[in-house]
Amino acid sequence: MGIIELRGVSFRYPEGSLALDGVDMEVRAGSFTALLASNGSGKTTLIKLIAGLLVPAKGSITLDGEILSVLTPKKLYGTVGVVFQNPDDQLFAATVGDDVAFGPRNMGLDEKVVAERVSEALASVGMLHATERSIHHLSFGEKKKVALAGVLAMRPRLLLMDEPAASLDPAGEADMMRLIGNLNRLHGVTVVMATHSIDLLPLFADEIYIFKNGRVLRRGNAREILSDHAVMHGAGLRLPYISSLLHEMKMGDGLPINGLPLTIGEARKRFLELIPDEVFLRPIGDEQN
Amino acid sequence: MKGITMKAAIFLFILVLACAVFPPPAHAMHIAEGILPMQWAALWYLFALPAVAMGLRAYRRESERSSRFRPLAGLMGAAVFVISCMPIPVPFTGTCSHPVGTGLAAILVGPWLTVAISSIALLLQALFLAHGGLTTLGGNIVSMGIVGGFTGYGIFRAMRWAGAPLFVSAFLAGMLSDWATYATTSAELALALHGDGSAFSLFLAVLTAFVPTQLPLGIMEGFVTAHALRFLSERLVDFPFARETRKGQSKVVPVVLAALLAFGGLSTRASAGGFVGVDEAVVEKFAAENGRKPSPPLVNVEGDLGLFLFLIAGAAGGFACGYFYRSLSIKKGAKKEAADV
Amino acid sequence: MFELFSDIYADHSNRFTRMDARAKLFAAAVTLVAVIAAPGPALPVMIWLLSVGALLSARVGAKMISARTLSPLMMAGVLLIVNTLLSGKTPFVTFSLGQWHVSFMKEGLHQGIFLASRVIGATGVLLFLSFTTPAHRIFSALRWYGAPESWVELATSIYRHTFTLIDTASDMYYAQRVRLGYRDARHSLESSGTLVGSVLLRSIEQSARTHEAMVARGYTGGTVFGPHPRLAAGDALAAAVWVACIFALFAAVRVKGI
Repeated sequence: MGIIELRGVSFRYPEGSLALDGVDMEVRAGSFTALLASNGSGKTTLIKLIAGLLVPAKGSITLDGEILSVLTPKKLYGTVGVVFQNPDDQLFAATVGDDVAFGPRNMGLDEKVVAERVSEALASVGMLHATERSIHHLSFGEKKKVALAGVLAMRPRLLLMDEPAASLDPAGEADMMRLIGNLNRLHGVTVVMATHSIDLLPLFADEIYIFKNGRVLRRGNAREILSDHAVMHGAGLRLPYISSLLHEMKMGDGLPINGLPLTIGEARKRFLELIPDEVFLRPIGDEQN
Repeated sequence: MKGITMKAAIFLFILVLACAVFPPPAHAMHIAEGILPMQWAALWYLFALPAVAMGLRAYRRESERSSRFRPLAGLMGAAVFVISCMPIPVPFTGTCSHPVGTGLAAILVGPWLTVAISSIALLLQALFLAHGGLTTLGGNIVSMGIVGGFTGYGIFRAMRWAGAPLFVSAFLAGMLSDWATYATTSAELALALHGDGSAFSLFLAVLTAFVPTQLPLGIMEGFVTAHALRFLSERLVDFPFARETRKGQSKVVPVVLAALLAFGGLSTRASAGGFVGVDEAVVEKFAAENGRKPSPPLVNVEGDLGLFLFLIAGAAGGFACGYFYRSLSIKKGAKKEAADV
Repeated sequence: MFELFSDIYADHSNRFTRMDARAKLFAAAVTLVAVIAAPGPALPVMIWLLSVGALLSARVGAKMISARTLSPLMMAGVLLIVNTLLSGKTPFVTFSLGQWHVSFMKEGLHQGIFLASRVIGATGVLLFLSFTTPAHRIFSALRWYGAPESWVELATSIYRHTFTLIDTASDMYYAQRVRLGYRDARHSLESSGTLVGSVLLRSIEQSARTHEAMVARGYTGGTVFGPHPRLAAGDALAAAVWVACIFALFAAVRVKGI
């Protein structure tokens, strides 16, 4: 049994339109699950449902086998951490340290323990030096890290993230994904991440769910999903760029590629299989002699 | 009284000239740091602090009712503060100024909470913009938080009870709360600084001195309050003030009445005898020193003060009437559009 | 769109910003009382010079200081003129416009100058405090001195959200401007009203999201504050010495009648 299970979950917006329709989901402990969807397909709603902030109109959501609604907030949020898309919605204290301490303090921990959690969380996101700084002087990327630290300080077993890399520059995005990947691989934190950024996913995700209009179009491991061209395009998404390139060359130019690489590393291997050795005889520098 | 009026008039002329020559952003009347001497600074604190405590009581009571309240109060407070720092063009003068904002805040969150919020907003303004000060914080809380907030709230509620539409009620509430703040600030200044002279004459002089900036400012605040409230009523699902007007009462009469009451009451009180002492003290002094009769004043305000204030009341009432008249003179179906203009 | 808050200076690091806010607050309060209770202009002017000196040594530009002093000075100026015209007995300047005579009185002028000195002296203290201490530290210090926790919580929350709202308001304002929202007086007023309404709406909507985020971090309605940091002996001593000097100075000017 998974740590989180959804059975037939449906949810309606206050205006009446259907946000989610009959969603089934199973998240295994320690896994990295990505919810892939274009904007407006209900992924934020799903995150809020799993976080217990919204109640499903139909169906059930269980955490460790217990229905979410019977759990006390303390038990729920001690286990499930939620990081929202906009950091300005989640940072409410004046200084970084105070904000990260908000969660542990609410948990009733001793001040010494709170201080330890704060430094530990800030160190894990690389923001320990900013503990005394005012939040409104931080850059967007820094705020995102502090928002994450604020949740990590509560030591959740499951981390729900709504578009953690959105609006970050490429370096920031890589940084954030590496951080989350480490949390998952090294510290065993189960991650459920809503996103539409594709290129780095194959390196981290174990399981991917594709959503469209509030329904699950397909679920499976990264390889199955990200090479399913039809489903990806049907959901308003695209393949990783490197896969798109090789897919085009395979279909359009007849390049005999083995399978569909998802990452640059895989693509390199495939290319090397195809290119004859003679091409590599002379190192590039020799041309100048 | 005549002598005062003359000087006030000359001074007014100089001030208007100065404003035309180099227009600084005319601020809503915060009393600047250091202006109030110690006794007065302390006295206004004695009025302000219990009111803030009452505001905090309201805050705590609302917080207990719903955990949503605290972040809402914080964000609304920030909104009120930001609004009071916004440069908004003032009609007729061509400069920019800041709305007081407490009238609008009181309509949205109630007058007591407004007092608590304005204590914080005023502290932040003093610290980071040098508008107002720490010693004068008590005085500014009284004029802006308490008087401004309660006036705006009271006028709005009264107008809505009488059946006035949202825009007009909000306009009058905003304008009158601004003017009430301005009058209170002038009174505080006069009381603290009159020295040997008469407090009342200084009050009138200060009031008159700031008329060119404060009068249009009140009108600006009225418009901004009205537009903002209408904007919110069209967008907030649970906007509490969009109640339908009551039964088909005549709209013209209550509006005119309310406007007249606001100023008419003031004018009757003002002309009923506050001038006697001042008049004798100044006029006699002049006559004695110069050995001749004082010249006729530029603006004959003595005795006519009542009429002057009545004129303002009439202008406000007339404006409201004229605004209304269009909505009354158009057919039923098109009434809503006309009222929105 | 908005004037620059002095807040940014409080984030720099110099000997004044590092001092504990509680000590600074105490020293500032005593100094302010001394300024507004002073019998003459000497003490306020001295305080002003000291404040400006301290600020300049903390690398706060002279332009910034004078920009912040201008507004209070102008109010004092207006009051000076009014006072000079109204109170006192000995005219020193008289001029006539046609048949009207206007006199400026000496006593009124002295009153006015005294008032102006009080304003710049007190403003100096205010500026010192604001340029060296971020608001949340001041709120924290006030809490230590006994301010109600609900006030401190509300103040911190307002302070925190002000800056995001200012950015939002600026963006909206520019968006309106490039679409000719401020082309004439009537539309400027309407656009300003819309701007104000939008800022309010944004804050109401954001509060819902902030509330969700707070609940997701275990918030159930109460607020827990952290502990106060230790008050360094050096800072407390500095404040005590300063206060003693102010007392001495005050006694001196009282005796001399300046």
